[in-house]
Amino acid sequence: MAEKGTDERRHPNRLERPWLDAALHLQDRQVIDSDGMMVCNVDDLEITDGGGRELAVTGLLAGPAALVPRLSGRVGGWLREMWIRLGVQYAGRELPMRIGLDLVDHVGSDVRVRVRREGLLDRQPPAAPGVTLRRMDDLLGMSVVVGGRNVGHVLDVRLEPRPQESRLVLHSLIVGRGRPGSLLGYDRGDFNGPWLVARTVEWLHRHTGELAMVAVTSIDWEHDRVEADRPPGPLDGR
Amino acid sequence: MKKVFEVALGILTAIGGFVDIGDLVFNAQTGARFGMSLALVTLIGVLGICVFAEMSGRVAACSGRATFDLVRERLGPRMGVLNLVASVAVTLMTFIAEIGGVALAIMLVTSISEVLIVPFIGVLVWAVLWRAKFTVMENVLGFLGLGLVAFAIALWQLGPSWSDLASQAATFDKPGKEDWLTYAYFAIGLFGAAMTPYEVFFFSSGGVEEKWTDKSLGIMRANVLIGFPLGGLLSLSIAGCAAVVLGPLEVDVAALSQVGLPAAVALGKIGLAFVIVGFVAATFGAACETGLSAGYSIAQFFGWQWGKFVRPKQAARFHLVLILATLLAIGVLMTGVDPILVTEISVVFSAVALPLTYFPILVVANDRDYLGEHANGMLSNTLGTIFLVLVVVAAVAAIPLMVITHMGAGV
Repeated sequence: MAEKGTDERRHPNRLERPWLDAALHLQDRQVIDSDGMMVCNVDDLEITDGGGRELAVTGLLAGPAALVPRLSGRVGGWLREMWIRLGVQYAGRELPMRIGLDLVDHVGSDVRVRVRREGLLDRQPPAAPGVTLRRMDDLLGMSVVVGGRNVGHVLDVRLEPRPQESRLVLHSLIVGRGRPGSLLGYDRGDFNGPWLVARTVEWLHRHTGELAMVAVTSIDWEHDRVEADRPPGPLDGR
Repeated sequence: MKKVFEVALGILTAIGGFVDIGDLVFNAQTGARFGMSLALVTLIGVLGICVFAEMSGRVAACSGRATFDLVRERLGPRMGVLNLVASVAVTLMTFIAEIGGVALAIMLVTSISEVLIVPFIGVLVWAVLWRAKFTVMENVLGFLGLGLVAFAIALWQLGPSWSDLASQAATFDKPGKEDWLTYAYFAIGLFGAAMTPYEVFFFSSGGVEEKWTDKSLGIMRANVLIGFPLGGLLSLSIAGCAAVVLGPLEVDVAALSQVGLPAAVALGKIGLAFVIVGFVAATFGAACETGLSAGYSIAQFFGWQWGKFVRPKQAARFHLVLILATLLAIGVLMTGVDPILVTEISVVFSAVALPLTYFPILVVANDRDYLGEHANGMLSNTLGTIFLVLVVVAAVAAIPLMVITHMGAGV
């Protein structure tokens, strides 16, 4: 059994820092329980939209129903169909498993929850009235439009932890050309080297910038479009 | 004292871990056909696996994350899943080849057809993966694998013209009867045999299993930087033996008995006995490592509990993968397919799949967020970038060369 607390000592808790990035620091990370046992991977993130509050991540999603839609494209579509066909008799086949953020107490090189894994994963409950549940993966990759002009895609989403409310409020969008994940973390501060790779990624992402959520006027979840009233500013590496 | 012992055991394991069925077959084949003219490629391959394993070991020690965790984390699920499919396919192919190799080695002694031995070997490998403690498995097989040192002694006993071998190794040339494309094909084979991806999956996951921290970096480096080069020396002596004994006879190595023949010529029965023990241990050890690696990769990608540091009951899905992999290997080998052929294919595809895991590890090894002061320095990055280029070139060239040269038979 993994020694409890090793990771806490090694990697500072990102939930206690001013911000963290959804794709870089949270998605696709290993989830570990209170005994140090592995639970699942963070297959996607639940975004709560509405109810008079700002957009915020409120839960981790796991399981095929969360992972398969992310393998988008033709193969992903086929896999999704297969997944449903293999269990037509089951209700809520497309509902992913969920871990509420209130159970997460540490985000470092992995995501630690404060309970044991036995029976932990349960289906995502329906949204409260007036609230829509979205997925982070749907936001990532959306095109960003400023005054009718396409300025790039959402490559990552910067989140601001609110531990008391068990929410990660969407603070800004990292906008650039290319695809989510292609930054490889090269934009975030202290990352030096290998020269060849770093320069290539830098060049590919020379137009990458940060767009505050307050500048976002609308998000069209149907047509994958974000409208903003100003272009993205320079990226704050910190 | 305890530390010395620990380092020695680690080195032992690394030697055994380096030499597997792919190295045995490809080194003997190239030795017999090309003399020592491809020795440089083996040395480059050894340096490459040192660079790769050291980086992934360092990442595992500092972040607590093994290779496939990082592959998915950095490349996302879409690229990650392609990567997973390719890497697991190659690892399973190698797993099949290793089990076949054990069966071939035992056939040398018992003369029972390898098809009949395979099910027993498969069950034995599975039993070790299920029951044996990680360190026991590694150390016992690593120790027995030293039987292969008989090749080095055999080469010395054969008393070859050392200056001749050295000049073959040092000059960029080939025997007149071979063509350059075949030369290139065998170069990629040797490179792929030295830098098999599973070695790194196993090494980094093993590091996580043994709970390395940044304090373990010294021991980890000693294992890599001494163990792998010593394994490389064994590979070179296998090639050397083949060059001296089989080369003049123009034998095209197609069986494990031919790989061991030079040791029998030089050292008689005793030599052969040591070599066969070495064959069994090296291939059995590699079978365990490749089987575990397939389980590690799949479990890490999906976030399931993995590893031998927990009871099988606690890592049920991981052990289910191991059982299925073993059944697959037994099934494939029971068809009577030649394990040497499977080996050759698996080695070439290893070269193809290598960049898929090499690249993300190179990227993460530079992440100060994870590694802090242990992030790649100038040297690691220079070597890392050189090998990134080499690995990509080998991956692109491997399949065309395999087709053009009819798997090394000649254009």
